[in-house]
Amino acid sequence: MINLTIDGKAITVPKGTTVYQAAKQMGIEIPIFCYLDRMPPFGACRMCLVEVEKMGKLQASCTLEATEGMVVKTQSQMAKEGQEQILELLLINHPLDCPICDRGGECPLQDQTLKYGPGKSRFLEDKRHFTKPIPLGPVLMLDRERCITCARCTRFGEVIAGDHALEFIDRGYKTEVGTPDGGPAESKYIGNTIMICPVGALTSEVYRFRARPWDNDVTESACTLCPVGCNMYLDSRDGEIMRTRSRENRELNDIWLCDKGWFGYEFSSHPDRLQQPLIRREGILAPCSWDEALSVAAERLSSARGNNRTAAFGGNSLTFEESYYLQKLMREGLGVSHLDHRVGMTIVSANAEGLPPGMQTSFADCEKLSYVILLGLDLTEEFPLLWLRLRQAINKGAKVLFAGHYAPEIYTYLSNTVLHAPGHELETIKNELQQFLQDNNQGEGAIFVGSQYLASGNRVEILNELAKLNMPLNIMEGRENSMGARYAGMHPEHGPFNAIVVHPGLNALQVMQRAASAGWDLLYAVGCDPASKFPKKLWSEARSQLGFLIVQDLFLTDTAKEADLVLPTLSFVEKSGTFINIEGKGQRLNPGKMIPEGIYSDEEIFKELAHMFNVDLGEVELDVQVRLKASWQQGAKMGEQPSLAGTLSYCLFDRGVRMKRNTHLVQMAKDPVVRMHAEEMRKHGLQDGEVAEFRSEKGALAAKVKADARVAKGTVVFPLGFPECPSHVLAPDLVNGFSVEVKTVH
Amino acid sequence: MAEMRILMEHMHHPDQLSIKGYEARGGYKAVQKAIPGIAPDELTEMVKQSGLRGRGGAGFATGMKWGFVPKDKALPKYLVCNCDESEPGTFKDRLIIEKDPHQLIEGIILACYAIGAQKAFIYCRGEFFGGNMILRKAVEEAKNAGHMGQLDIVVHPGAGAYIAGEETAQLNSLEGLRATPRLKPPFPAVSGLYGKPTIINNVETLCNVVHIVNRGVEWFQSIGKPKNTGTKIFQVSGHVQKPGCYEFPLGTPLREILETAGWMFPGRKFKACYPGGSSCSLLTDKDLDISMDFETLMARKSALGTASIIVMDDSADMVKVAHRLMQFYQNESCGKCTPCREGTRWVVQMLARIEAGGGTYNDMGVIEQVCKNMETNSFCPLAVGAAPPIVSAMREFKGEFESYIQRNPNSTKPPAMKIWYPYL
Repeated sequence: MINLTIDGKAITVPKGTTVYQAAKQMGIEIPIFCYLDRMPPFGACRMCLVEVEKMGKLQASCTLEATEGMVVKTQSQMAKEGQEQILELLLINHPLDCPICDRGGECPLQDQTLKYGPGKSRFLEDKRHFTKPIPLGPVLMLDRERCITCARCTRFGEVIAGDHALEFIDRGYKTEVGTPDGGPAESKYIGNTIMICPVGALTSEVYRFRARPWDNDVTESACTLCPVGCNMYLDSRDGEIMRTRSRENRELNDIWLCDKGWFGYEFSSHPDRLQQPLIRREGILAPCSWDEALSVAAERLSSARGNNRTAAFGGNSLTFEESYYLQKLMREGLGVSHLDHRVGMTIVSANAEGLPPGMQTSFADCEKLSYVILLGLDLTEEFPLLWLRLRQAINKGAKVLFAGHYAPEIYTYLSNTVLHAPGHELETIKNELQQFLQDNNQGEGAIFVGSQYLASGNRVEILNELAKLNMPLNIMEGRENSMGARYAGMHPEHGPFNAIVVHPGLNALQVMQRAASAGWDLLYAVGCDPASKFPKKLWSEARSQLGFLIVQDLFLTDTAKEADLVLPTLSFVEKSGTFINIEGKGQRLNPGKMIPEGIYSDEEIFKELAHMFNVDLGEVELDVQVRLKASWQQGAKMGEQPSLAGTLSYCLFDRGVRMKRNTHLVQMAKDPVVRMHAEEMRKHGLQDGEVAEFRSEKGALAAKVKADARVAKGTVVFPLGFPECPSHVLAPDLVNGFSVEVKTVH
Repeated sequence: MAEMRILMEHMHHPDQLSIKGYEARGGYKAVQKAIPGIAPDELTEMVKQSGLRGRGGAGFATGMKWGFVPKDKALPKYLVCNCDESEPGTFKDRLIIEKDPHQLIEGIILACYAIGAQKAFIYCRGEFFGGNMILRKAVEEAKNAGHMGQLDIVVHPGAGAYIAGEETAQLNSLEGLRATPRLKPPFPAVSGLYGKPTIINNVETLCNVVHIVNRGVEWFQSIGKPKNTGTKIFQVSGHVQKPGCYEFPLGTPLREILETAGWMFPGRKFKACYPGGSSCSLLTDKDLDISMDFETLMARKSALGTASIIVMDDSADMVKVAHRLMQFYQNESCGKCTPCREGTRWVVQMLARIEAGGGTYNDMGVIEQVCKNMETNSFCPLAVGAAPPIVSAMREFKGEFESYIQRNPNSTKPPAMKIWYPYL
């Protein structure tokens, strides 16, 4: 321990603490720009100058390690003069356009100028000029004149995200922020740079000029757009969401969000939002009153009671409570057991599941791991925040082994990468893990299994094999609030809190197949879009034999367009409830947006319907710390190994129902391409960028093909979430490892 | 004292470039003598005893620097030879690599042996096209001749940044990053290139090691002055009749060096000189008898630096000199820290205004204060070196600056600040 004195007060700090950190612990504020406590000290801005006895000149406190007996003065005349001079220098080329700057009101430069600045500048020359804001991609605007080159944003890409999205260009006074290739910033985390920018140099194209910080009402909520459930603030002005901001939660997202969290709220105010219920009259969907809509729904639902030809889909976009009410309404009110939330997800039976999704390592503990096994997990696409936490472990020297069909985009940080075609998962586990675990056995380790392995036909065997390793096992499978839906019982084989259902119902795919072959009475699709998640042919056959279709959604989705009754509902920024994240922890949602007139939440609709049936839905209580448990059973065996096997990849920025209404963020979505290894493409006579036809047992798809060295040989990677590339036709259950034939299209 | 050629002894032979010529004049004798005749620790101790100080500018004791390297044999270590010679007025390293490259390679082999490095890098200034090629050829020859043993020497060209001559910025540049200085500590000797212990030595420093091994510590100590042992290649440029490199023992009077370089042109008077490249305070005719060594010049608040004497006779306009020099620092600042990035540009703007006849009396005070800020509060030595040449010129030749300012009829009033409305 080190004893030192700061401003006359003594403090004892551990060795290695900087003077700035020690002062901060004592509540002494030292002005600073370049230092951010999530990144190592940098010492560039020189704002944090302090006077230290026995040292001839001022010292930058952020880089100065405290030593025994040090006497520091942060308020002395000398320190003050130094700080004033640095601020004067920072401001000489700063445009001081605070009145029109988005950062004004919450700007560290503004605040510190007021508090520590000289008040008057001696600078009489021309300021440095750049073209005013230039876009660095669809969501980020750069104003180079305001930049004080503190390097927080460039170092974020280096130290935190590892994507090097922003880099400095040129040198000296000409230094400016830019992207390495001059194009748009390629990152999934670029919104964070806006947050940590201490001036208004980086601003959000979405929020730009829409509000001043003091105009905004702040609501604490959580993001529901991926299974992580990052905590955030909803900033709203006059009832409209202006922006979302990260809310610090050390246990989950720390201070970060991914760009879906930063910019993925726009859809909630999109003009496409349904304003009132729609009912099909003479073949056309026409507006109707809620009374009519609900009575028709109740009538149809009650007539379907007990005929075993009624199903309800949905839950991923609902809160836990809403899913619970929906399944209770269906199971107890109507005796319906055909419930499934897995529309657009891999569908496997409880027997073939082995273990349900969930995590044994907490997000916070991910930073402390010293060796990590990633199995088929494309973490930046599916669980973006997990990467930021794991990166901290890698910064501390953790070793990471990846095995899968194609490597994640952060592959440069992996210590070992094993690529293999779908179907070779078990042998990879048996052959590759042993050596890695022998080399790395110090400290804490964890296994993360992702969709490439979980959506395999060998899922049970894989999980059995992994369980033998006796390491924390994290089963990373989920879309939005699928954990909440599953917990709530929106599953044909599991009731609330994973209770085993005595008479299991049909899963979503089976319902569609049964409907297509033998007809079906009623389908209630809540916040899901089966028409675009199942193969078109299957859907249209099922729809033609479907008695009545009720859709409850935000938008007129493909399913809603074909519905008999459409009920509008509320988005996640307008409702309260609980989101259960992939860790199994509940995150509270609170409404930050004014609820549009005449629209009710899913919960209110379910309760109203229940009231009509005289069903008491009660209240649900949630112990969010309990993890789902399931019995171990043997599953199906894989057939013969195909020569070219297909696998599916989820994308963070896709063009799904809600994403395509985030007018800015959707531009970050890349055009969907089917990826193959270049050698494999040559073997099949494919050219990079040409359109090829892919055929599986279940269907065919024409799509552009791209060579990618990150893909294993013998593998074809199909993107999910793009209407123009319906990969699910090849494997309606989204189980990978299906045999693929390729043909060029002329 | 007359010129004393040790490093430059054989440079006039055209075949000194080839390994044959170098060996014929006693080349690689030091390697044969030291490896394995002298233990690595012993060699470090010899360099320590010799009092050899770094010739790259800072004058840090070379042996002491080598001693900082951890002794752990399993740890990879690197030697980086700093040949990014970019200081204005400096051209000694270029002379060595273009005329006697094997001398440098021999020095590198010895230094690597002393610190236990298996890999050495020569970070050669990118503009030295010829030098780069000569070095590569020489490395190839030395390797084929078997002098290098297991050692591997990589000749790496720079990309034209002055700041890459700063040791930690050079390491960043070698790693493929932006050439910006790193935070110290940890010092490179503990954690340098790729996080491994690294010694960075100047070309001339490494060449001196060869002669210490060949002729012994006592011989080296006998040259120059205590604490300033050995010879130094002084580079004289500017208003002298015979500009060039002259090797003298440290502590030779300035006057003698300038006289050897032919003194001023007929009819011209000595006015001032920067004694150690441009990054130091200038000397005037009062200082002509000063002993050119590290301590004396430091006491004079100047610096020996790279011993590059930039001479100005009475035709030099000090305002223009200050302006031009500051422009150099402005363009070469890496932009990492605020005082250097913003201060250099501001001073250039003020000096330009003074030169254009728009100066005010207040400007001189502001320049001095901004320079003081740059000198004390910046991150690395670049701005520390940028301030003295301007401040000293302004102090010593105040009248010249004032005469420029007097051309401005409103020299007592500050000019109005220009405001630019971007959105009108």
